[in-house]
Amino acid sequence: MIGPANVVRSGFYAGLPVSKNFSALATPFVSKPDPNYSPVPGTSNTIDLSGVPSLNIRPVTSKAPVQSFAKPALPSVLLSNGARATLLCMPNRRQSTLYLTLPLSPELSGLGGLFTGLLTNGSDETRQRSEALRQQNILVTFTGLTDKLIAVVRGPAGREAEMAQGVLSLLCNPHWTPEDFERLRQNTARLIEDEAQAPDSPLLTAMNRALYGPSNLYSLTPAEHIAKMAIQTPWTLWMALQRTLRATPAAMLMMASPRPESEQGAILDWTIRQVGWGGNPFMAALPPVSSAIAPSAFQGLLLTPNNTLKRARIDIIWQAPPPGDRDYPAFLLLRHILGGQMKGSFFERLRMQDRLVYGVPTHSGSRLGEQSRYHAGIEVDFDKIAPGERELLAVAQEAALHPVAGDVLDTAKRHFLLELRSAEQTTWRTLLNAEPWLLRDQSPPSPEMMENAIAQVTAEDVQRVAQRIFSIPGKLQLVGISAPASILRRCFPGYPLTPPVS
Amino acid sequence: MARPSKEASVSSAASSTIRPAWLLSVQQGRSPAGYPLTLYTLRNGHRILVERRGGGIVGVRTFVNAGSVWEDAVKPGPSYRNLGLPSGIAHLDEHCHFLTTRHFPRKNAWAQTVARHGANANASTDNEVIQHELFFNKEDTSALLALHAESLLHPVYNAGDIPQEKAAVLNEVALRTRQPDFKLESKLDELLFDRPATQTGGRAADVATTSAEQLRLFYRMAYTPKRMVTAISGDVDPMEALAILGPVFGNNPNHVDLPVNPALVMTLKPGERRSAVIRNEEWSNSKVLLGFPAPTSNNFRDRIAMEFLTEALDGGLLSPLPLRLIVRSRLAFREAMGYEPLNRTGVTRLRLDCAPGKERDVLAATLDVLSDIGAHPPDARTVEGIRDRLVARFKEGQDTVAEVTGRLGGEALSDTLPYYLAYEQLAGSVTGEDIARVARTYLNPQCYAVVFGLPTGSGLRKDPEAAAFFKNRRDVS
Repeated sequence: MIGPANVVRSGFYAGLPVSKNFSALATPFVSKPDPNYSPVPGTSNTIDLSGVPSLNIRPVTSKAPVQSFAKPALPSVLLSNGARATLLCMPNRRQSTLYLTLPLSPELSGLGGLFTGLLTNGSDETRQRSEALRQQNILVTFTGLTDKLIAVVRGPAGREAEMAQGVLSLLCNPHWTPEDFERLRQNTARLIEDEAQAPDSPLLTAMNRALYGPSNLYSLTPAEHIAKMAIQTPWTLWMALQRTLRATPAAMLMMASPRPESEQGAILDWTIRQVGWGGNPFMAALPPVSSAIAPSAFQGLLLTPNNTLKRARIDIIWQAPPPGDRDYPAFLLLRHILGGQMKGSFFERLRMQDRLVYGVPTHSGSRLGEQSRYHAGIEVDFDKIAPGERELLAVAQEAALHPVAGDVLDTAKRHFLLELRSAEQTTWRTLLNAEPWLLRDQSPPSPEMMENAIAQVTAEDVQRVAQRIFSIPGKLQLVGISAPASILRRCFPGYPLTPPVS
Repeated sequence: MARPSKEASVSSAASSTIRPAWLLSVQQGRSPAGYPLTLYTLRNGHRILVERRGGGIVGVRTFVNAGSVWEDAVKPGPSYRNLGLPSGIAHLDEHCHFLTTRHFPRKNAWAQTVARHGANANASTDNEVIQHELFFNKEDTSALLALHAESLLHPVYNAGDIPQEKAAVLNEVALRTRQPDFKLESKLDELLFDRPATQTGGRAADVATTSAEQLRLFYRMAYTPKRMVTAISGDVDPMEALAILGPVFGNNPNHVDLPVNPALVMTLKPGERRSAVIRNEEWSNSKVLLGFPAPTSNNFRDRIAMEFLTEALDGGLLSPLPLRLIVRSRLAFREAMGYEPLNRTGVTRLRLDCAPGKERDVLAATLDVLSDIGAHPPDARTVEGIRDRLVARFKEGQDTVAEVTGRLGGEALSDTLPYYLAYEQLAGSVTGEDIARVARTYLNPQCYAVVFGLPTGSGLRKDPEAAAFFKNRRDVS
């Protein structure tokens, strides 16, 4: 019988008693009171917060043997066409998710937007097939990156076969008409044009060109994207897709579903045969787009004029360990410690202390080649460019100089655990967490293994990875600042401005 | 761990136990996901909902029936009274709840303590609702629930501390308002409600000069129990949650009861059309933003039919809006539609992106599509398909504690909890004629507001390579 009288008998709530059971719950795990806490006696609705900072989550250090992400815990299986699949059984979920990545052949690189439109919307027949999936509550989303095509399929648990068949049918038996091709090409150009107008677009394009060189596919400007699209025909794209599909050893699939892994594997294998995705198991994977960083980019300052901006943008790119690296778990915790939009060292310093910004979004990207990036960006008033840049760099340098305190590391581990648990609520968020590995053609670790590897990270590990990322000289640290030309000239007299890249 | 069942209801629990003075009633039932749901109504009016489910994450949100509609208007009009509350105060006050509290008197100590648990804290403010949220590991439940109550009921407005949050608010507003699309949306709200979306951020001068005393007054007016609902979801024993929150929320007195603007009002009169034009050099293409009056949140019959209508018009590639505007006529290259129920009105918004020069054609074609569905009700099979998809989507929304606490608390605050609890049943009652009826009633081509967003920049057409393609493209279209 649930009744509040069972609970409230004695104790710390305004003279209301507390039962033994509840008392146990409220008892702090550590006796040391929070230094922030100040008791206010004699108020009718006083809250007991003396136990608030208690360390009452599961131990963050485990006796289990040390594991890193270097060797994936989730086994991958080889499907009959040579593609690899990682399978994850997640009981009691309402929804299943299938994730597929294919490296785009060079002709398709940078044309992902157009290409994904053609796959779902390329003709009446294609639209009918997409609509039939929607009628079954199966949602297919294609995303085109510079060098990858990603398909994410979400559908009701139990309909995994229909999900797999639906997406592979759209992919392996594409159909588009010249009229729809032209319509989608025009619409995609409009979208690229709109995106190019985003305040950060010119600066990020300029930074990519500085990092990888102007001829690299990562560095295509919006205008170059459109020019590349303009020379395509329905036939050239169809041929390029066939080449992409034939290179099955480079295809990665991952499924998360309440079904046992064996059933998931059988469904995928059966579907591959059904749709005729034969591929060529002996065909080598397509070469990845190079992400080698140009030597001139190291410790560079890039000033990109943009006269439409109302506030300045400051972006900094560092080089980070990629998934699979032994330092990757420590890097994940370092990201939590440095923070992002609403917490962490960047937030504490730039928002709370210096009142320069609303938040400090950070991002880590993983590319097919050897490089991985860590990126922090802010928007500041024009008169705060210098302190904004200085403080961003100072926070990063301090992480490299000083070992992280034990309670800060513990907090980062707790937060990581929270994010992991948050992701585990659904299959698609779980697969989203696995994306950094999948994008690098690696099988991801299981959630349990991620948790375990994080638990092993020490303060020394975090400082080591911070030094690896932030300790100059020798490390990449590209600073990009965008503002109207007059502002940049005033702030950086004599420093050359990068010609605007459209 | 709690087991799901198919029931979704809340009923009074027979209780022979002794209740504390602050507790009025306990009702128990099942959430739409089938988990045990307990509703505690405190004697002062504060309601606490607890959905007990498994998983390692717990979410708690407290909703306050107050917002920027109480403030003096940034653009004065006849629809709302001026109460002497400066613009932006609701939002600034929300920030101050994280700043200094009675038991954490040092600036930012509350936030640092929450952060040490690895928890995610956030809050939001709009015209009608203020919302505070915390998500944390289940092992930290007792501490974090207490911290949640602390921030809600015991903010301390130290004049020396507040400038920090004023700076954060001004940076936040600058970040948002510099988006050209935000100007478009704000203008549409102004046409519909006499209240631009810039109201919640407030005028910079008002934010900068808001005093600690004004914030205290706002707090006492807004954070009063009868205006508050708390929703919790996770592996939490409802009794334990009540034992922590009940004495705190239950002893919060109902403060000041001053007259306020209770909610947004639709100022568009029947048969009235309003329009505006915004030009911006950061756009390359044109935008057409349409707004129609829509059902209130407590008009269940029209509200559920409106959800069906939105899905019927814009649910997929073969739905009338994308099919006719994008695929067939090629007038637009992107479109989106959404319906938002509010306390005393509602709004349906449509956004269409098109090439410059096509704006009026896009508007006319869109109104044609809306008229058609009013004249031709969808057949039974189509309605059945829509029902399946909406119910499936609704069920998916029950998978995360973030979404569940959002829906539970939001609906309870609007006194529309039955809409959420009986969603499947309501969806089962909608017919094709219902869909056509709400289309005729609410998406009336004679009554709407429209904002045209026109580009003044040349976009990429100044680039020779892109220009060649754009030239070709114009020939084709």
